[in-house]
Amino acid sequence: MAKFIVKRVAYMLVTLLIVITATFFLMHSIPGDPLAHMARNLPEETRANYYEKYGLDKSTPEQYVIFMKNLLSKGEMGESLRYPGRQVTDTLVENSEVSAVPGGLALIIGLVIGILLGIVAALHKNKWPDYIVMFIAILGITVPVFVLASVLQYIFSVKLMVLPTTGWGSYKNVILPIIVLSFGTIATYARYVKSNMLDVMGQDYILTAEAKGVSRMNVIKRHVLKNAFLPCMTLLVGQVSGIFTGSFVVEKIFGIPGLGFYYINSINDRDYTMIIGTTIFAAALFVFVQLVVDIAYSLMDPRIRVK
Amino acid sequence: MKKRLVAAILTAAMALSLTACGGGGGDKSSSSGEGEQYYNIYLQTEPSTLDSIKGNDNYSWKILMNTMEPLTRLAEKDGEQVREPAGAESWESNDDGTVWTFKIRDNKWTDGKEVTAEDYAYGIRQTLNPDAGSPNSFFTADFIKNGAKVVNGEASVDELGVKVVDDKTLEITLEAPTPYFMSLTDTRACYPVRQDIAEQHGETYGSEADKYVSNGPFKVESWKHNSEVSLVKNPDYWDAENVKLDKVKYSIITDETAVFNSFDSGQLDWCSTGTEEWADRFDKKDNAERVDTTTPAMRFDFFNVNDKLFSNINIRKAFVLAVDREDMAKTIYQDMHIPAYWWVPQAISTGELGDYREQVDAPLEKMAKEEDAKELLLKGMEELGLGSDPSAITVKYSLSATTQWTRNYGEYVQQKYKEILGVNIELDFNEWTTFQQKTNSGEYQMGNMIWSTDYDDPMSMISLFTTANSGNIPTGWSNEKFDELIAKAGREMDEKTRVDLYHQAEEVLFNEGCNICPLVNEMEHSFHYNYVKNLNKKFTSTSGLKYVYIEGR
Repeated sequence: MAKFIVKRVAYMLVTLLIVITATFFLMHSIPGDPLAHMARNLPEETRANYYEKYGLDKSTPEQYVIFMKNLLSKGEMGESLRYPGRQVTDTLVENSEVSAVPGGLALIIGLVIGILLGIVAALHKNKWPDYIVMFIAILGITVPVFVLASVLQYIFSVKLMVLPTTGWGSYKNVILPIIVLSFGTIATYARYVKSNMLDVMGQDYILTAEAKGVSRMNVIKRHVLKNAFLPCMTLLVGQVSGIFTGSFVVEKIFGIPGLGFYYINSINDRDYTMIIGTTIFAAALFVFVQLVVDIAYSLMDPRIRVK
Repeated sequence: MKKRLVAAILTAAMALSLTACGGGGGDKSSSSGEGEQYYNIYLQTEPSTLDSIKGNDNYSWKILMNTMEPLTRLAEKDGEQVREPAGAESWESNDDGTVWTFKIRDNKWTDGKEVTAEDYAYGIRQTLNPDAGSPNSFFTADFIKNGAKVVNGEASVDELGVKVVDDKTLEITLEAPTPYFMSLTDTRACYPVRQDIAEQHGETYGSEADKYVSNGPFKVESWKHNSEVSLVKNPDYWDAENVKLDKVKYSIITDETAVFNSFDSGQLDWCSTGTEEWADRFDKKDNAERVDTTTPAMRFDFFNVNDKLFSNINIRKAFVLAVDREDMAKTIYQDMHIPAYWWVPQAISTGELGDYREQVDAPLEKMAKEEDAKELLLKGMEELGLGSDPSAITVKYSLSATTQWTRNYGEYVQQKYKEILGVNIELDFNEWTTFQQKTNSGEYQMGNMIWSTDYDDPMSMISLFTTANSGNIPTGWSNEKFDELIAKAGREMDEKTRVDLYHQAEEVLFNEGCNICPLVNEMEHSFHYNYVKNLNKKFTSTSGLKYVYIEGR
């Protein structure tokens, strides 16, 4: 097991290194100037100073070496080019904390409801509870979040006036975002759990258990659920890391100062330090969560135990 | 759980079917018990920094305008704009208008220190200091003595024409008499900055509420990045008795629909909209007032005169005249902006003479009467030896966005040029950063942009086409006569003669250049609840929220 973990961590580091390197060179290869957000062209001397200050006057490989040095020796990613005086690492920490609140709650709520609905649907296959659950699931997958978000905002903020439209700081601000964010999760898990359960229920060992005289309740609890849940963990990887990276659309509509904003805008602004910072953050989270899930997998499922 | 979800869906469905009730009553719970002098507005984007030297976005400008005290302010009195003393209690110039002396008023910084002439001098010097990397140097570089040299690193900052005579006297020497110099005194390039505070925080000065001091009507109470900026009245401000608002909250809301929903529900007291649909909806609110103002901003096309086709003036003129501006304003902008037959936009004024556009004819209206687009095109094609078949011509039209709106707009233009001139337009959609790089390096034929003015004088718009400034809208056009006229206007102290010089320059721009094709003059359509009083009506005013108050909320 220890050997497995060491090996996986090593892979993880290699993956990160590749991601950082690829992003670094790719972002410098797309056309565009980080100073373009200033409508006026800067005087030559000022521009030269600006480039020098951020090291943009050096060649891309040189910049890469400097960046890696600072990252590995000091854990620094530099200052944002778009927002003077703000360290990228501070922005990542502050904003991912914000994103994690609605994101985390939405994931928990979405998981619980989604799994329950999936179980209900599987147990009542082709009966009305199944149809209702599948209807909700289809809605959750097909209705875009911005539509759902705007509709909810209109109902609860404009018409009923019980919740604020946008803002951050009160529990009232997170209610609508949680509903919107969890809707997709509910839909995904309801469908996934249902199909997994049906799959497991058709297996020979379930027939065996039933033939042994195990009660239906116990068959479900001990054999079906456990085996049906395992594949769901794969889905979790993306969703758990997504908690911290935030949702651009939902955060924008509800004015949540999360990290989602920086993922999109840093690229449009060619804010190089922020692009690389957000990418490292997302990639690191993803591979880390994947590692945890893989370990959990191998502990729980003897079929995929690693040698 | 299942039941609860079904219940929630039912509630939602019921709520949807409810017809309009209430609306605009407002969510007062959050601010009850504080009196009514609070004002909730919004910013569309996070301000980049509160450092007046480094930031040049409109969002930080709004915060700065209300928290800092510039030398003067352009305020509105009885519907007229008046330049009133602010940070300077008085000023005078020598006879030829090259040396200006400002008497700095007794005022305090938010940390209790006295405001001195040195604070203003430091702000002005740093803006031009190339080491500080300010994007705002263009405001003053050409006017303050040695400004251009300092910006280009050819002279040291000490040689700049800014002198602190004593604690309360600031003397600014200009390169030459500049008639509209006073219009520059309330731009960011002349804002005061406390050297000790700026140096104490270094790079991070202005990046947080507590890394910043101010001396204006309001002070920044908190700045939650990407969420809100809260201002409170500054009790130490010299004119605090005339400041009515106690609190101003700027929510940062980037989503348009969220802005409108917030205004609709009363969580915002003001909002502006560019969409007819929302304007119509807010028009139905009887407790809200609509204000339509022309803003000094132009939407326009521009041509690369180094391109083979557009090197010909007749072709450029043909493209300019072929645009049906009335139709565009109607079809594309739903009459939210007005057709523009000029370059210097409405809403720009010339000192005491008032609105420039009211004094001067629209050059394109005249040209449209005299010439015909199709004839010009054929003439130009002949001159270039391109034959007489317009459909053989294909022009690449570069746009600076990739949104659905831009695509619709592009198709409209494509269709119209085909219809009127018979030429083909190839659409080229870019992100802003790519667009800028392309146009700056001359790799385009025809582009589309928006430009808004920096200070209230025709000079800010028209001087963009002098040879020295040609990098901003990179058409590659240069004209000696035009340069001379602009240089002359820049020194002419008589307002009437100056307006005449601008007029001549604008004529030259269209008759001999036609390197730009004005499309629409922007307008702002804003709504505020009736309890908000004394808002500025003109876009160029710089008194901010100083005189705004609430009555009968």
